[in-house]
Amino acid sequence: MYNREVRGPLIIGDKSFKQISTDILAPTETKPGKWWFAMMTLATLASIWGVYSIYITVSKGIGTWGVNNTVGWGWAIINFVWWIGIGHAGTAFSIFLLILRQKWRTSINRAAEAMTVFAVGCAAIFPALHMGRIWLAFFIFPYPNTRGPLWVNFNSPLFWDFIAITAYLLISFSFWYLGMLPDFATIRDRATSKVRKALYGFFSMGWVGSSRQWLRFESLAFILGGIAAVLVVSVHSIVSTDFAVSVEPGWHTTLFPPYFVVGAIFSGFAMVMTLMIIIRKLYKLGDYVTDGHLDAIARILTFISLIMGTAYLTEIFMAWYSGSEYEMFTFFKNRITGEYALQFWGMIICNALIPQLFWFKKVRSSLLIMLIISLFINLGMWFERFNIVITSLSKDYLPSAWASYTPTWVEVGTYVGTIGIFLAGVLMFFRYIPMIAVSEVKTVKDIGTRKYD
Amino acid sequence: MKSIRIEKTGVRHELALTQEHHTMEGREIVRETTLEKYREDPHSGNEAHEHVEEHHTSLYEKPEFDGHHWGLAIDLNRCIGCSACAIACQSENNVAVIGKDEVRRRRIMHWIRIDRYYSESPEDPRVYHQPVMCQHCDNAPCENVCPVSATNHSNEGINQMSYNRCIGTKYCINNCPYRVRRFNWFAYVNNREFDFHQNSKLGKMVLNPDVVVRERGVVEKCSFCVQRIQEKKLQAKVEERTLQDGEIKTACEQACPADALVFGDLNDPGSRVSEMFKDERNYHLIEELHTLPSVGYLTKVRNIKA
Repeated sequence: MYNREVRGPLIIGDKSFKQISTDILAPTETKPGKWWFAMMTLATLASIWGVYSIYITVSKGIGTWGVNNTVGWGWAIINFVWWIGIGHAGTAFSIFLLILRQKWRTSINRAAEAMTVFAVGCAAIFPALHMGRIWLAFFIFPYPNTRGPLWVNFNSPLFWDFIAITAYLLISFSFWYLGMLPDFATIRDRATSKVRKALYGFFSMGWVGSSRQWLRFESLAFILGGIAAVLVVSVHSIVSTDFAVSVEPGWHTTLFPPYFVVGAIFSGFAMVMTLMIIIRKLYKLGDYVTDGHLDAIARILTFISLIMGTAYLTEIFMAWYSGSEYEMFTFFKNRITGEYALQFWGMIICNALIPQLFWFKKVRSSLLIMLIISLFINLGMWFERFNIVITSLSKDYLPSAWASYTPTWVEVGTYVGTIGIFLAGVLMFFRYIPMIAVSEVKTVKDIGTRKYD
Repeated sequence: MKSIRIEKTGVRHELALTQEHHTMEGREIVRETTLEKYREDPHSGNEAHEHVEEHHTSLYEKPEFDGHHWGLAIDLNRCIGCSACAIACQSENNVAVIGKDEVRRRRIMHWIRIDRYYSESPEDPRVYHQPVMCQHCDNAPCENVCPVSATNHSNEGINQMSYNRCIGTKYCINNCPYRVRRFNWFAYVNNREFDFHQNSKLGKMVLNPDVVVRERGVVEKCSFCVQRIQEKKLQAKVEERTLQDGEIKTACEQACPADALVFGDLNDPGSRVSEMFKDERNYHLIEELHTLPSVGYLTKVRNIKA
């Protein structure tokens, strides 16, 4: 078969079905190592700081943040967009690679989808929190009400955003959870304690693996996959309209929807790479997450990085080509040079230049270098969002209103808190849920081996 | 007086400034001309206005207002930058006092502010004053981005705020090119941390009963003194007559010692504000954005040698 020449076997070591179950389910059936408890403590501490920051914000007001009359959105919106972007990879992995018939996704899609759910959950905290009156957040729900009825403003990108995020969270969670049913049933069947059997029995929703169930399962996956495929493109396009629909220089551009979607997939794939390297190292799942898998992600990242570089240059070109003095100022005097040059060049170096190292085979085969580059990409993507949100707002039309922005500890705390929540979620995922889709991996175990020909 | 000495104390004090950038960056924000040029052509200094007017196109119909269409004209030649308008507005509209610390964080609550710019050399600068309040744009960028329609347009051309509806996303603040929208960052009423007039029973006696006090977390801004408009409209209705031009005076207009601000009905072709809007010196702030403001500025004419 053609797969073999290109990529070699997807699963190393000619495993039996039982062996695959045993390998992958081992972390859920054994006590976690000391590092797990150490990390969990760290994650909990971070979450506590986050919850305290949220408490301060809600009880005292948005005034505890560094935002001001000129820069109305700060770290909250940066982090919102950042998390949503990271969340994109799960769906992109599952759906796009499914459509493209990339069988190698089976080892990775479960972890990627889990990451999506936690990341989108973290992201959803921010738009709620940055509302002045969070207790009236339900005003944004479009439902017939006793207040008039007063409807929402269907013209507002923030309303589109709310719909997009809610839909995305629901669909990606359903997709992830339903995909786990057969694996939960496998854990249930292997369980030795009654509690464990009952718990996983409950979560597997009575899965017995009959052909009827498999048929239903496959068609449901197909339907949800179809919806999710649209969401991958729509969610971040809509997030981008929060900016693109406005009149702010540097925001008002038609480039934003594709630029945001690609950027989101970029940061998401980088986070998947970070996570897969960690999983592979800590749980010794190298037979399932092979060098080939990481190599494939690295190649994709190289390509997306080129698109990002092109997008950055396009933006700068358009600012000049538009002839608008405000656009010119934002790009040339406030980003490339000026107060926010550090963030701009950080973005360029981390997103457009560093990932180009993946052209070298040596770089693509070193786990450590790949881990570092993947972290740099997510740092770069954070810089990108900083660039967009802060630089445009801080110096726009009337110089009399120009102002700078520095975050306060409350904003930093909320961000660190979401990292803690994300980390805790991922650790729980490591511990209680099979990290690799057991049933799916079994279908590809012979691809690229002699048996398959 | 001889006993006064000046010495270095080494103490640093962070000034609370409402404006930190002092040039116009070559943008046509305050347009000016010289008396000589003005005599030759009253339109001088305001060439960009015509250019923008020619290029106004839109997919949407130009908004029409059947009854009144309130507008405000500001003669930059008259403005002396005394800030009386800002204080008048503050007491009329119950604008909160928030203290130096908040101003250092670049937060102000004024509904009308005087922008001040300098040009030429620092030794002999030219000073520009420009009162800026909500421009009540007929194509307002803030209105269409609010997810809950808390800010919307009245049928008299006023960009109005429904405080009860506002959930404080601050999107409107970001999308206002004039940055005239104000956010209630904290509760400024009954809050010990803001121990100004709104924290005591006696202090609250200065509040205007015709205007609500805003809650924490909502956006507020210039309302064209809508309470005064309503009052005079009602009075005219009771007396069964039409409103006269000049009958409604906004707080800023009333307080201005130089009569730089003129409020009135743009639908009344004989009103003073309509006359000023027809003046060749009239232009709108950042008018190239097609926001269609209801506030107009008249170019500054200096009696200097060009």
